[in-house]
Amino acid sequence: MALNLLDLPLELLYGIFHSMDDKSLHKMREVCHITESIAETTAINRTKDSKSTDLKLEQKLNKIDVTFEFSVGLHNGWEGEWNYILPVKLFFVSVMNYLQIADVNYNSKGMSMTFTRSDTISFFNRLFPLMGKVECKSLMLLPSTLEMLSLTSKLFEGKTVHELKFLINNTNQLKLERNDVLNLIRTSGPNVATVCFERCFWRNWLIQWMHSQFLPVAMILMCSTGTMALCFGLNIIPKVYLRARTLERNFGSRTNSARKHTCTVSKERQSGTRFNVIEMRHEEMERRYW
Amino acid sequence: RIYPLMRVTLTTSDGASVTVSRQLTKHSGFIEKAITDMAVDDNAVPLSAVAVDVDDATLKLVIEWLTEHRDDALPYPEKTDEERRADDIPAWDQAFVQKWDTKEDQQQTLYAVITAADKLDIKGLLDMTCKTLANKINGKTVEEMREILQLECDFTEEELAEIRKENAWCEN
Repeated sequence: MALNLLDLPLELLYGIFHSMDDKSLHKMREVCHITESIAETTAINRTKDSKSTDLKLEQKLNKIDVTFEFSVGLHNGWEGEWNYILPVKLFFVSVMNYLQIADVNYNSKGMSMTFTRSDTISFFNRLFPLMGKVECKSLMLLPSTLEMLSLTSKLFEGKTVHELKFLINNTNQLKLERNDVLNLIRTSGPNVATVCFERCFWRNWLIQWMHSQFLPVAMILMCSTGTMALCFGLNIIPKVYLRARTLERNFGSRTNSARKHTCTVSKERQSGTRFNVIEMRHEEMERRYW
Repeated sequence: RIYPLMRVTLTTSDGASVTVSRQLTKHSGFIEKAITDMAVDDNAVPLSAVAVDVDDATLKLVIEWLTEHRDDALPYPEKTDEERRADDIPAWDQAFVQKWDTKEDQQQTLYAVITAADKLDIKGLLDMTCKTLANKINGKTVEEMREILQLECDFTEEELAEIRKENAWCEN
């Protein structure tokens, strides 16, 4: 089988491109898409040591956005429960927006979150220990991103452009370790990397956890808090409490004293005699007046 | 310590066996690693069995280069990108590569040697062949580059026009 330039591993292509003079390197941009991106990356790396270009490069890198699209709630079995999951989604979106972790867009088809690169790293640093492996639905990366990846990520090490394209285009179950994803984010190059996670922890862990644990707990908490707030708001609890306290202070044991007092007063009224009924015991009243 | 009399048998992907001095194979990081780490029997390294697809013809070229460079200092000096120059290929190496020009599939031979040097981890040979390929491209027009590299243009007219506009300084 006849070989061509693109059958060589990417590390070698970089070596070859580095050996070219500046004009030839830039002309290589016109040959095809892949040589264009390799030539651009080589040119960037070639001028990287120059202090004058450092700032430009840094500014360029800082503008890179990595877009992750999480297809939350759209997979089979959840579509019918869209409304049921809605509060969870709204809660999640509001938390994400409140913490300013990501720019979250929410629509009828699902939720997409756009992270800046640094946000993404810190976000995933926090969450990945919980996740373990991520199964990637599809990984769409532009050529220059692939080349950057091949130099840094072991997953893509030693692969040619063709092999990488094959790997990326033909796998729906590409398993990425945490470090691979972090490398992917860190080395996403001067382009946008879009990663669609389908069967990641949002279904396997977070949503199921929320579904099984969060909603019942949240409902109980909300109901009990609501009841308490209602009671205090209507001044029911203070009234009942204060009435009981007053009776106890006046008559000691709440029930017996109250019953005796009622009885005494009733008999006093019947007899028409005025007594200090509060101080008087029932037995004395019977002995003295009956 | 490497004894010159120690010999290593390399089995290529097309079944041929080549026995070479250990003094030559010391330049190959891969073969040295295979001998020491993988504990191969009788110093026989079956290249095809360890996913190094090198055919007999290519291996002979590699061994020819190794024989010439057997006394080169090791480890091979790492060069930074700034130090990387394509015009410092030794005379013997230039003549060695020019011999392939007579072959019909000269470009294929070059790719095969580059791939073999990479897989066998022979840094000196890899560096030289990469520079040779870079020299073939240097100073050529875009059309000539496509022809040499056997690549097809996959740009749209708009994309090509944009790149040409950015590359206008190259034509001066």
